Amino acid sequence: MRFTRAGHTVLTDLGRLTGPSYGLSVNGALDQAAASTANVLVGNRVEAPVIETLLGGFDAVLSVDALLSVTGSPVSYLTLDGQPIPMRQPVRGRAGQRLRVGPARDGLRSYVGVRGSFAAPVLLGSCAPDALLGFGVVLRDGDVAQQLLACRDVMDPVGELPLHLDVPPLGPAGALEVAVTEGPDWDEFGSSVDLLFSQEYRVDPRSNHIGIRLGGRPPQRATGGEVLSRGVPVGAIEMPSDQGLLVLHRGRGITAGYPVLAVVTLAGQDALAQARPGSGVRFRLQSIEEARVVARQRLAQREALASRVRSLLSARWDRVAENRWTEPFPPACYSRESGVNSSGSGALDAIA
Amino acid sequence: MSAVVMTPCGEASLRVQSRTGNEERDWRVVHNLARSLRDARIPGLWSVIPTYDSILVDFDSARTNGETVEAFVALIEAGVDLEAPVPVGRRFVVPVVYGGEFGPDLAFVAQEQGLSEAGVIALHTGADLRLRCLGGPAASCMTDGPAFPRPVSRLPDPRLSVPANAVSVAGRQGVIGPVKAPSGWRLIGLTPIEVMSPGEDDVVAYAPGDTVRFRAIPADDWSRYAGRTMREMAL
Repeated sequence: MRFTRAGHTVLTDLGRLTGPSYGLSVNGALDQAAASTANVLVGNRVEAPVIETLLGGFDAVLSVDALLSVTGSPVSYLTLDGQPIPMRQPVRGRAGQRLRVGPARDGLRSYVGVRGSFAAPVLLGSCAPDALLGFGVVLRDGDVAQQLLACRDVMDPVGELPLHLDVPPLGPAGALEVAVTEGPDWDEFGSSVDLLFSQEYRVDPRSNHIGIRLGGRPPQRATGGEVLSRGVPVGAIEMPSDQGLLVLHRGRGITAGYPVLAVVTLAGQDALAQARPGSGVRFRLQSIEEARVVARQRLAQREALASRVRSLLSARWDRVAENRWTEPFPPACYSRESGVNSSGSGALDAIA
Repeated sequence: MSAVVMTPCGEASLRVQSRTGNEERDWRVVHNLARSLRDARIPGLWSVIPTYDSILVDFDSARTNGETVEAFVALIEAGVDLEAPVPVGRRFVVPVVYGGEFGPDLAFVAQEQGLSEAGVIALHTGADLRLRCLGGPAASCMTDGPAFPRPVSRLPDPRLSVPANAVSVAGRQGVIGPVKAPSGWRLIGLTPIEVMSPGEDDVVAYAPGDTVRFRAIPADDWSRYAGRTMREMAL
């Protein structure tokens, strides 16, 4: 795929998960659900490299035939050779066709997955760019991201398949409600924690992949004392000043000397990755158990989608032959005792 | 009674703190425990970040959970002498150009400590400093500070950008910062060597337990070391 207008676009994945053990930030797609879904929609592993584009979108020419999908922030236009294509659906593209992804609307970051994914250099198992290290593929005008698979035959026999994959779009723009769980230093803030839940914070334009700055009244620590540097998780809410909050995101340095009041849930981190400067954010308290239920539901939805996509992609659309039974009866897969098909799941395994 | 306290840190992380009441013992506990946790190859465990008295464990919340990780920590605690000395690792001799444009805070540190600039350099280069942990940003090499008379105050207004391979001090600590980054620490010198080389397999050459010995070099020698790596400085 050759980028004729690269914008702010990188190749990334779900992050350098073992990086923090070596002092490196985890990084990776800021909206993890959107990046995963972009892969799932084209039958890739969720960890495969995808394109992440921030704000302005990009234009590119497909080098080979491709099955692609666009997820994340809605964009003001999305076309293939000038024809509008849908978001959150697998779309077939031909070599030489021009993919145009318009500027983000409502959110900030959109993702493009391509069946077979892209070639990208890897550090500790991940291609996620690390700006501090100068590592990763940051695309510039004229650059080529090598597609690893030409998908000539996918869905060809029937042309446009009537796909209705029901992937929910991003929530409506406006005030965002973000769930947090109690952080390990919650008790140090006494009753001032109420402040966190009783006002709308505003996303500061200085927010980035390291942290989302939120303007508003921060809760105050009731106890004093220096905090020794210690590991802080992605999602940690810190108060470096009395002007507002800092929610650490995936580019965060692994240690800090601030108390951790609360931790934004995994779902909340994805939402904040799409929060535009100036928009409002409200926090809501969740127990770890409640947050886990939400995370499990999101995972189950994604896995159900993956299974449907795999079925579609592996289905054979040639005409079914006439019934010409050649096996002796009963067939080997038929259990005489129970009368039920005991090994039929093998065929399903092959598809999934 | 267990001196290890565990607290959830969101759905996907756990903080493990040592509370022996002694800094050195706490450090041993968290680094011995961190090593055992990594060696155990616990399914779903992504990363282990030990610092001074605490560890942050990041895990895949779809495959495991805080309670499971807590159970593994308890198992290790029962079976491993966590207060055993942390194995002595490698010794790195790191050349530093001190003062001037290389270390703009050297004069301040000298004044604050009631020492001459040469006196600060003599203390900073005068002993092997234990590497305590890797910190943010980007695998900062956090060592004990030199035997200064008193703690070093931080910058009231942190610098927005400090060059890569900066040698700084604050409080009772020292640090080599491998990448260009903001910092509120007192910058006393720069090393010409590449502290981190991301192209290499092991990315970060140093680990907690190693020691660092600084060596003063004149600015004229900068080019003799430029392009060499931390790995080559190991003895």
